[in-house]
Amino acid sequence: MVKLDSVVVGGGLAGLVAAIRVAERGRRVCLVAEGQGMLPLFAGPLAVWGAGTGIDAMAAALSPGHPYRVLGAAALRAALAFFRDLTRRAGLPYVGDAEANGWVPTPLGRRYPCRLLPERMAPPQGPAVLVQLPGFLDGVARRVRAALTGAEPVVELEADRGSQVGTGWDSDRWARFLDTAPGARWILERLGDRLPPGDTLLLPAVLGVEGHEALGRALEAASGRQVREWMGWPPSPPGARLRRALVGEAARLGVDLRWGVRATLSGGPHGIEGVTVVPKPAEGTRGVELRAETVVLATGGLPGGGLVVERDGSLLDRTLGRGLAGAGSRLRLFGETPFAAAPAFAAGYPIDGRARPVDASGRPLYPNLFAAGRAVGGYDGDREASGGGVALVTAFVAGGEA
Amino acid sequence: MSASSPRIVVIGGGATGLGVIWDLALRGIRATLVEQGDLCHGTSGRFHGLLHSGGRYAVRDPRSAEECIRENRVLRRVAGPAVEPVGGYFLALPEDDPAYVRSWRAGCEAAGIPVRPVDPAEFLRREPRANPRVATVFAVPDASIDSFRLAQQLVAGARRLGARILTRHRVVAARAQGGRVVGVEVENAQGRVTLDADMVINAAGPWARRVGHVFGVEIPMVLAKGSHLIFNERLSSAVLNRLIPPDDGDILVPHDVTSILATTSLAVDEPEDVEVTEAEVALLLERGEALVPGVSGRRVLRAFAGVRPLFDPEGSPGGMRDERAITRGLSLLDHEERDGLGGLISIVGGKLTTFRLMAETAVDLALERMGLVAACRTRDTPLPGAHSPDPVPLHLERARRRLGPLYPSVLDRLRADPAQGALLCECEQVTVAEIDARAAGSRHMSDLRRQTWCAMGPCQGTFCAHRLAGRVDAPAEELVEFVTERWRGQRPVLWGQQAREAAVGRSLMAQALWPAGAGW
Amino acid sequence: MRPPVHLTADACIKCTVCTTACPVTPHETGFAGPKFAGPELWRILDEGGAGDPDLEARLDGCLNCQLCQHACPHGVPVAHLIAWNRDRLKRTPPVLRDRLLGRPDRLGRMLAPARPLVGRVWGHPRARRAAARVMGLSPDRPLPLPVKPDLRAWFRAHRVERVLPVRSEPVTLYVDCQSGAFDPGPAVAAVRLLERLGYDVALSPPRPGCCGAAWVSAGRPSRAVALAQAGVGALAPAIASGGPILSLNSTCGPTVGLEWHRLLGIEGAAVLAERVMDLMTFLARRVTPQELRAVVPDRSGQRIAYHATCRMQGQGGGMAPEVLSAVGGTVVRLGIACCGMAGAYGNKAEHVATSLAVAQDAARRLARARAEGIRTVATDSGTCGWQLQLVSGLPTVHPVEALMAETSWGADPAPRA
Repeated sequence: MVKLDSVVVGGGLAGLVAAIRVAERGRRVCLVAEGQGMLPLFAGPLAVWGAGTGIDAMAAALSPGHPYRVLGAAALRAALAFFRDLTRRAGLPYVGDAEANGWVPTPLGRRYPCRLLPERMAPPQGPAVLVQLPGFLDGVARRVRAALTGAEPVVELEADRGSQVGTGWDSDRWARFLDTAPGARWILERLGDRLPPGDTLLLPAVLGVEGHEALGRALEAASGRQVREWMGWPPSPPGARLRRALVGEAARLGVDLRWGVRATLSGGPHGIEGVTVVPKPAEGTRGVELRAETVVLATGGLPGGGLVVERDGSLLDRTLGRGLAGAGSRLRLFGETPFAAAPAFAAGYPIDGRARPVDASGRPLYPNLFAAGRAVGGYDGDREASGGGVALVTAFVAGGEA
Repeated sequence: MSASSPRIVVIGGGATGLGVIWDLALRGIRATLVEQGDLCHGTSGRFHGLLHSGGRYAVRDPRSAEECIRENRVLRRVAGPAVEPVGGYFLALPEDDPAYVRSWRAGCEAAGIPVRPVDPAEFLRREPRANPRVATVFAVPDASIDSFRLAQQLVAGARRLGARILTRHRVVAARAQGGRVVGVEVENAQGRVTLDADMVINAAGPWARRVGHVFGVEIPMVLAKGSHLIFNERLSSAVLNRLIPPDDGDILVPHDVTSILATTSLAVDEPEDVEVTEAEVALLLERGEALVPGVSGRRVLRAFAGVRPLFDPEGSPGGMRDERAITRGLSLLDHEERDGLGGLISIVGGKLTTFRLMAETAVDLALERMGLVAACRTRDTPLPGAHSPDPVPLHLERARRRLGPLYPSVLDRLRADPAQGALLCECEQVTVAEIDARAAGSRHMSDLRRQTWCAMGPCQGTFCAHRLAGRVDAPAEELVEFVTERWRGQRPVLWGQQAREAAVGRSLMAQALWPAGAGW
Repeated sequence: MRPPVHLTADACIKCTVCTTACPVTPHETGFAGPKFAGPELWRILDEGGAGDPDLEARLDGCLNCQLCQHACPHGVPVAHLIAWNRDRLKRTPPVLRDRLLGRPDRLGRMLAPARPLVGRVWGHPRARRAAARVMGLSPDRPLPLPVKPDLRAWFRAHRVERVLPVRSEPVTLYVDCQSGAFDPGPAVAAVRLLERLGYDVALSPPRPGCCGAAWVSAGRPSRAVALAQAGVGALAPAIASGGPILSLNSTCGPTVGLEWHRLLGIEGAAVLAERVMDLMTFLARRVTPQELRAVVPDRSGQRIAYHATCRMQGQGGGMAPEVLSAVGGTVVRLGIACCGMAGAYGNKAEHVATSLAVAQDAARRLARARAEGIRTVATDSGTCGWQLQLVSGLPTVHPVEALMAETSWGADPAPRA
């Protein structure tokens, strides 16, 4: 049995931010995650509210159960400021305006609205030149430029004959290749001086994971232009960069990080009493018991695997072993079209003002249990473009309480 | 009517209609086929993929059983890569009726279906996931057949011999003169056209009755919806059949890398009634447990339903009765004899296994009515792509079967540029070369999907739909339509990992397509 | 030979997190990557595909670190699927070198009498290059040689030394091939430590026998099946004893405890999951810090670096830091994902470049640690230790050797208050 002040279950954006906040308060915290968490699927830009209204106006207009409304505009502002500071300290500064949307080009040529985004993905200044990597299927430059004027020139890079560089590679594969010395040489040689005129070189978000900063600077020096990235498809290097930065910061603050373990919570009359963790390959064995004063549930909801749809259409929180209000049938849980509003996509725990999951009568399930990210219900991050903001504000509040 | 250039119009682009036009082409007659949608969008593309040995009908429907085993042998010979000779087993559990087993064996013998008893222990070694309680096992020559591939082969063969195939053309009116059909009016997105015809063959499957109405004839039919589940992995290496009177969920067919559990049977009113209910999903999984214990815990990718067009001369038109009692045999209607309308033949009933025989029967009658003589050659003529070139690497082996006649051109592309070997669809291993080669014919995403199996695997398009759209430069609206179609088939089976997959896919698509149009 | 029927890729949603964790993909442009090599190919090969030389080569770079499986947020047994996929794609039986490396237990027995000769050959530059070329080995790597007396001989002759009162619980020390023949040091330290703590220690299996991990890593799990079956038989007394079976190697331990059952489908092996335990986990869970401090030197003011091997990460990260700090030491976690050695992988001529490329990350982190005054590195596998030593020049020991060593690990520049 291991005694701690707090345990955070989940290693995605919400879990890491919550753990960092707990650790910053001087508490002994352990983060447990199934696998590496889903941050490598995170595109990078932080969407707060797609509709573009300022925070006060947005929060006032929301339905009472929405996490923004429950936690309040001030908490959201503070969470965004916290995240800016945190990412600056961690060497991956996020920029932007908390009150108004910026945007980033999507692989399908749309503009995705976001309030904070990594510097490398900030909107391009002046005329842009787009780069098409050889064999890259997760974003066609000619299409991406529809998010700009649509007339930008495209530079098509080619692999050497007989080389396997690029064939069937996704963004992560590219990024990690460009992280190596041969990879960096490959791209710097090709994006030197013979480029069409333009102020900004716009590439898919593949410019390294570990060495992204140095590589970006080297490319700016070699090409003599500003270098920017557009949003990609997972596995997403900006998500991996953020994961790396946050994990580094968490480790620096002494968070005990345990990846690849499955956690289950046991609750009693006074609250969550223990967290049992089992290394994933040893599932079925007894595992290790952690005791903590507080627990943060940041298990990622339906996409993250914390919430499971059962065959009868009910919803199960695997970590707590608890059923959540479903819709009575699977067909009602999901809409007739993928993008329609449907109960499944707003599924999760309702919370109180301290980010504690509450029951139907509004009472906390356990006095020492907090929730963050997609484990919280009452919002549809896809339709609202609010997933990043909700993850941050819930993690900020939960991490401040736990 | 000129004997040198008879004008024949075939209605329906499923297996039967395509079989008819292939048969006509081989007899030297250049006909025209009209199809309201895409090829095989109906019953032919919505079945379990079983090339019957006939065993299923050995007791209740001996005529069907005989037709099945005959055609099974023919198709193994001529259809090449569309048929995968996986073999099949009929298995009885201790609680199953031994009297039925006896009559089944007698029926198989009468129909000429070779049946070989198999030691249950040996069977379980070959099929380790099958029910270990199995008491009696027989091997039969079942196979699996891919109707999309078959359709492509039939189209390629018929076109090569001059046939005309018009998809997205709907028959809207008939032209008749003096008790004879002389043509049909068809409509597509561009407008109406008239096709002159000396003979019209109605092979519209579950739509045959509706087509009959266009000509003013009544075809009594029962429509029976059959629902199926597709599993993520191949759960058995051969077809598994319960050795009981045909019932729900008693067949499991290995199909390429997946398995299909079939089927339910429910009478429906319209050919478009193909919604799969939650009750059907539950029923299939429950019954499937008898074949493969634990099957209900396996990942289901999609559910789909097809509508069987059963001919029912005894029932009232559109009426309902126990549809499993109706013959699966084919029925040929000579409307000249039946309704006094010359120049129209309908071919209904039957099943995919007997599509060739249906075509042969229909063409024989059509030619007889037209006073022509030409012998059927489909029994012995291999379809294009039936014979493979030299052995190919595994990752191309599946493509080869999928590609049929297109295979050489794809191979050329890969040789010229190895980068074309990049996988656009990772689940189903569809290369860029294949998409590019196909896209020369049709750039419609759904059409490319049916032809290549792109987006048909576990991710159902989450990680490839945007690539396909990018490659063929499909507009955002088409991508949304594509994703929505994928969604519909998943919706009845969204639990566990497939629900998680769908949630991830929705997030990604919502970001990339922001604000995803007016659908919000 | 078929994979066990419970193996499935059903849980895979294709998210590719596994591939982001793979240490090989950045360095081998033709390597298929774990998502393709594992769950994707699994579905396709299940259809029953024939051997394909091209595909076989695209999977060959896998070093079975299992970081893919560890990273997967869905519980897909990625590495197990890769192992069987590789097996199913093999068209030819293994060459002599691989037959030798696939059975380190036999290799130990064979090499023992020839040790002086082999040592001389490997010591002579030209002879070594020629021998390496013939065998398909890298000439730039040290060749492990068996030592005398081996562990079992030492154990029979050794004198039990007690510090704490005798305990009733019997413990079994699982003898992996490395400990048994090539480097008994960690096992000797473990026996001495456990006996001082009051445990009665038995060694198992009684005679050398590989757990099969070497064949699994070489992409031939089908050849590991018979070894594992024999292994379950050989461990029968240990299983019957009811006590824990302690492992010193972060690959062999989970191979016996988990993979005999989950990867190889061996009957009767499921029970081992609760019984086989890494020695450090055992110490952390069953022995109090007071008891530990009573039997090993105090480490206050000393500092050591710890590399949780890739396979140890897959078991929850390892408890060595807890144990080493319980006796007063300061433990620096190196944070290396994979050292690239992967048993015999790093010795094979065709893999040595990848092995060293993967090791660059370890080299960087170790150089930093060295600059910060680290003098000793602890890790849970002998072969990984060689690699760390090769790229850093720092002495590398097993955590239990670190516990028992008489000498200091090196001073902690910032001794704890």
